[in-house]
Amino acid sequence: MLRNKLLLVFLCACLTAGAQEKNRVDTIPARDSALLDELKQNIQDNIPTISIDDADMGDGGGQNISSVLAAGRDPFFSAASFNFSALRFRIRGYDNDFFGTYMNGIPMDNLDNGFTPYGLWGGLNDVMRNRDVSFGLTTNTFAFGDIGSNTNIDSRASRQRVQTSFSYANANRNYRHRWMFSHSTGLSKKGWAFSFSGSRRWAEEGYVPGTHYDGWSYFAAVDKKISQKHLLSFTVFGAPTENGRQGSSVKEMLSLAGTNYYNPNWGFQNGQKRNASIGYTHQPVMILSHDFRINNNTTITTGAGYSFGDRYVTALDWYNAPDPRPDYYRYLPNYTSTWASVTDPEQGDRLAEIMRNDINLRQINWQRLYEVNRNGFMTIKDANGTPGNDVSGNRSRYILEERVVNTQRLNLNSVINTRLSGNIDLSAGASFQTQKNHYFKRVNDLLGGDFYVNLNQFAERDFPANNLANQNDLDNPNRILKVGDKFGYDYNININKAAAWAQGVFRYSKVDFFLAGQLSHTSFQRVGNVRTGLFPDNSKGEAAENVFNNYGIKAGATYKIDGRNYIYARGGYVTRAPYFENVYVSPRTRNATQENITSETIQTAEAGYVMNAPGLKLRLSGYYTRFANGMDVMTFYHDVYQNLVNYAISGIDKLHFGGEFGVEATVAPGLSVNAAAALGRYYFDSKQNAIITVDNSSAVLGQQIIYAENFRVPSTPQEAYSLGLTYRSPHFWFVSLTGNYFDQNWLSMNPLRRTYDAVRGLEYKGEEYNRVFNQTKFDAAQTLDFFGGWSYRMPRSFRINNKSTYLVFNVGVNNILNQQDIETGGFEQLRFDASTGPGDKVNIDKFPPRIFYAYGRNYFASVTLRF
Amino acid sequence: MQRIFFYKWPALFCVLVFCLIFVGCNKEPVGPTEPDPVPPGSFMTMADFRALYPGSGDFAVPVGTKKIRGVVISNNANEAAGNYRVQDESGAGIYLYARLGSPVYPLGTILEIDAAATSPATPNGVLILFNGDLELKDVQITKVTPVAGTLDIAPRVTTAAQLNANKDLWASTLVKLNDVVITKEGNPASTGQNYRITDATGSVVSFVRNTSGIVMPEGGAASITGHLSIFNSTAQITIRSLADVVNGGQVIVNNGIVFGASPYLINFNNLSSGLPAGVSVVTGATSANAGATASLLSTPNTNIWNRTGSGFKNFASATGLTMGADSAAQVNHSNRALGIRQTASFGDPGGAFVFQVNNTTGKSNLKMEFLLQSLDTSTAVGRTTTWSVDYAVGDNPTSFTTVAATGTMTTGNKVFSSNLITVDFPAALNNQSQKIWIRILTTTATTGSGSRSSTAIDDVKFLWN
Repeated sequence: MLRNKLLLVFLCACLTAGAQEKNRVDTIPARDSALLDELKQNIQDNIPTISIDDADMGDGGGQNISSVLAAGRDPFFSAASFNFSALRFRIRGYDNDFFGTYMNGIPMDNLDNGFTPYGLWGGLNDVMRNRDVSFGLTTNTFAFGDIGSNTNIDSRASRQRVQTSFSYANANRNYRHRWMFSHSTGLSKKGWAFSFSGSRRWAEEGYVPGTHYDGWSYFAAVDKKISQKHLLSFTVFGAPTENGRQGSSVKEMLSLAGTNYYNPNWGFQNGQKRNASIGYTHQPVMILSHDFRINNNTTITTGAGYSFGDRYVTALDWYNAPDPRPDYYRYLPNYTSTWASVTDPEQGDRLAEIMRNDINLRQINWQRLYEVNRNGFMTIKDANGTPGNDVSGNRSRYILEERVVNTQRLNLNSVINTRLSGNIDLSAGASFQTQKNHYFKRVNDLLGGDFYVNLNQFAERDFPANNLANQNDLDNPNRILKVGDKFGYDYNININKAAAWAQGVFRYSKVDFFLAGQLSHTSFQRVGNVRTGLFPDNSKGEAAENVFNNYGIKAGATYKIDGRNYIYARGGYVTRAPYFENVYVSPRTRNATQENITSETIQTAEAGYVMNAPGLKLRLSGYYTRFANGMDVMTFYHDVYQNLVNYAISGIDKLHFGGEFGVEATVAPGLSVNAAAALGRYYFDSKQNAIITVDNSSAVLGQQIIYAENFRVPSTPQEAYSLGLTYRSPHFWFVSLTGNYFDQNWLSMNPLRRTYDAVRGLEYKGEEYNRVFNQTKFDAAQTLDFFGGWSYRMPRSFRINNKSTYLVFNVGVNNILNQQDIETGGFEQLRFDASTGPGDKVNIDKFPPRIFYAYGRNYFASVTLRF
Repeated sequence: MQRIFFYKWPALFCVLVFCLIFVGCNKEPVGPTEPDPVPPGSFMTMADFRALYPGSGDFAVPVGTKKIRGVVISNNANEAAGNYRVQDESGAGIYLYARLGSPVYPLGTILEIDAAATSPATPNGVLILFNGDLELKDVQITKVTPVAGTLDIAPRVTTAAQLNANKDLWASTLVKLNDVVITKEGNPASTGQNYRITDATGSVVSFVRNTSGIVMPEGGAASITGHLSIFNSTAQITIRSLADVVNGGQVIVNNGIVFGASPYLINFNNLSSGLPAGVSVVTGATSANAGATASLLSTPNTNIWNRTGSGFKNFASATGLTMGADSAAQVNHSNRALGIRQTASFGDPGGAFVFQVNNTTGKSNLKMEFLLQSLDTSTAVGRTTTWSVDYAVGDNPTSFTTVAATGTMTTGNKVFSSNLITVDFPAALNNQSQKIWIRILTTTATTGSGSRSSTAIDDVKFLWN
């Protein structure tokens, strides 16, 4: 099978070779290429985001678009970052935090998890197009960089295309409509440049039932060229966005609903669909930067960036009441038929029948939640910690809560680029980043009740004799909550990072090489704002600071066979501080951390062949990357311990290697072929160690070895291929058809099922053993995509300010074949019915995996007036 | 074409890249086949844990005490509610009394028990002697954790005598007795039935609960396995299921001594229940006559050293008592000995203690050790008895061969003594497939005047290669 795929790659290569032989000349105006890129970016701005779990606090834009910024002109990355995105392809299988993003030289990635918060500038495509992209370990002029790719977006006013544009787009994806406006003046004779942009994206209901979208965005930038040597720039932007989110579910519910896009997050309220999981983000960003051109060979770019604001998702919370989620496992027919203590298959069948025919049984029953709350009259003794203060009213059993992250982020950065001689370029920089994240919960809606009480019901259950353990805030016991009040957890994570780097690039006639190094200092600390009843001595106040000193080096060389053919090889060794969320065992409740906290180490090497010839671009490369000493913390309900437990996992090693191939070739006048292939293998490469603690206790319950070695890194195809044809007419229109093939995509595994505990008593390598232990592979998938566009220059009578006016039409249709069963990812539920001892069989089907699917046929069409 | 694909460097590189993929691709995960190794230093052994107990009273397990980890070797259905026996690889175990509301820990479950106090003010586990058995109680439910894995504990193969002698050390561990006789003892109680398990060396009690559903087979059994417990100073063996009794209920066709592992010990501490298997007492024994079987007076309180009534008796052993110990001390003395009070008409000469061994197949260099005890120091006791050791082979031997014995072979004449006697048997007893008879007897009349003494033997030990 693999040989066949390699043969396909080889045939593609031969095809491009033939094309090159003809030595065609590309006669299509460059702006048509830009149109295609622009269209792809617009589509990327509107791709699905799925909330993987309730704790998922995405930045609104979705992390799976990380590679869009890396498209550039590299034939492989161009294909990989767009054609493969429908299946959440990650370049080289790297996590999203290995792709760095900068804006005007300022690092934009979150310090808490390394992700780029794309949502902060969602809808501002027009002013975010100027990019400097470097792939892999390639050098760049703005940072030492991450190992995946590094992108610097230049959003300064004077760098924007001088034009005004209005556009309207219609789509059937996350949002249905978008209008966008942008205007850039360019640099005036007096040295001023201004740029403005704004947009609104909205949908009453997106592709997935129950999801809605309402996003605004704004952008303003001003540049002042003070002299030939000094340019001062200021940029401010923001994108207040609210969207109803899609939740994943189990196949049984998808089957009952008759669609793979079943969304358990919504229900009817007064005839209207109401989503319980609303994401909201608004974190304005301000960047002040200064370019100092000391001379023709040396520039210093200095910047300061500040962003602030909330992002939150809403979710149902409940107290001493049945689970309100419609797909809770006990509500499913299969539970009645198979898993209940007294099974009743006939009743299960009847339940399946009525759930299949009544949508209200598959969705949240808002009406019932209100009824319960309105009939919950109760008196709270000693409310708000005041003896004798009794408060009576309808105590909400269900509420809608906001899980809020308030962020303040300050980034300072300065970079010098200088040419020391005709052969040597030196770049160096220093940065300081500080980020304060404040995590808390807030009451969003009491759902018909009068108040809620700030109590921990899990602690109440576990420590019935301890009348303090259930207090979320010991200093304010029995606090009565109204809409807008904070409750539950409340803590800060303060993160600081200082870094300095230097890079030398040496260029000679046949060989270029470079050497770069970086030193960094990272510290983070939890600060608890409430004293919890469970951990009165370890929850409030400052925890010990975690400090890490790290370094990275990379080097590489390029051999220039001739002016069109190059081979290169690069290598790097990097150490990296862990993220706080993988260090603190349960930051919501206490200061406890994992033992033996270490930095992750990364060894990586890449080599390749590049051809840049008229009518032909080709890249063939290979890479080998090993990650060592990674850590992770997972919290979930454990059926054996019958409690929420924390799995603190350490010793996570991963191995990623593979090959990449990309080609763009002109095979006939106006007709070009592009092909790309990514053949990788991404493995977990170690047995991992887990220390298990109960969320409500500091006691260590045990240790386990997770036999993760040789399991696949999940949720990205490890093989992806595309082959496309594009015709660009001399009359400024184009059409493109691309077919894609994906394979080796694996389900995210539950580590508990890869322990001795899970398989004890089962025959080694027997059918049942394999069913529990082996990883699930998704079926291979194919998609077919179409893109078209036309740039129409309007008659001279439409000229504005003596400039030509254009109407630009774009349309893109993805997944033309409307395949709705393409599994793009998913995860085994961490909760599973493990064996409790000899004779008790492990049951993995009681809590089956949650899968999500690629959208079926979907489109994006836009019209733009540009002058 | 040539310009692209026939450059040697790119071509070589392509080959390398694809070779890399071919070589490394599609590795298979390897799943676990055995329990995770226990992290060194994380736990203390059960033996060490038991050693924490000072010997009496309640003992709160101190702050910082390491956890213990062991496997449940008891069946909760044949135990009182909340009672578990947990043993680790150190050969020691603990009697766990779980808190009310604890889950049931089935047989074979590995438990990690964190008995340490959270702070001096908040104790957790407590060690006590419950009915003479060391028990761990009051451990918080969340600190008794079932964990992954299996732990195979091989039962300690022993004898009833050894089991009684080592009950404090071996309590809450798995033991196995070979070649036993199971007899019902007493009437059924409301909760279950006592059985007596007797082997060649003595006996122990086994209590079977009604809730277990086990019907104990009476009669002979090749072996019985269970955990050892102590109830009011009495050793008990508790089975987990009927599978713990191998070949139970068999008819006893040969109740001689079966030599298993050397040494074979007989301590006579359960004479109140009768003679050990393979042991008999006779009068009229001579070198040409096996003698006539006599009965044993088994009740301790009628068998005081200075009582002159004749017979084979269940005496208090001289071991642990002093000369002239009063009758109460003798009756309450748990260390018993098999004895004889000779009279002119009883056993003088011809009184003998007989050991019938089924065979010595595969065994050689048979030796015997025993204590010969002279017990009565009354002034009237002026006679001296001389003892000897002989042997014979066959089902009904008519000729016995005397063998030399080392040690003081006389008793009586107001002497209080307990002398170790050793005997080396000749090669004639090596690898014998027939029955072997070994006797400790008096073949000559007592000497001196006055009354005859009370003589006993104790701690008979057979050794072989």
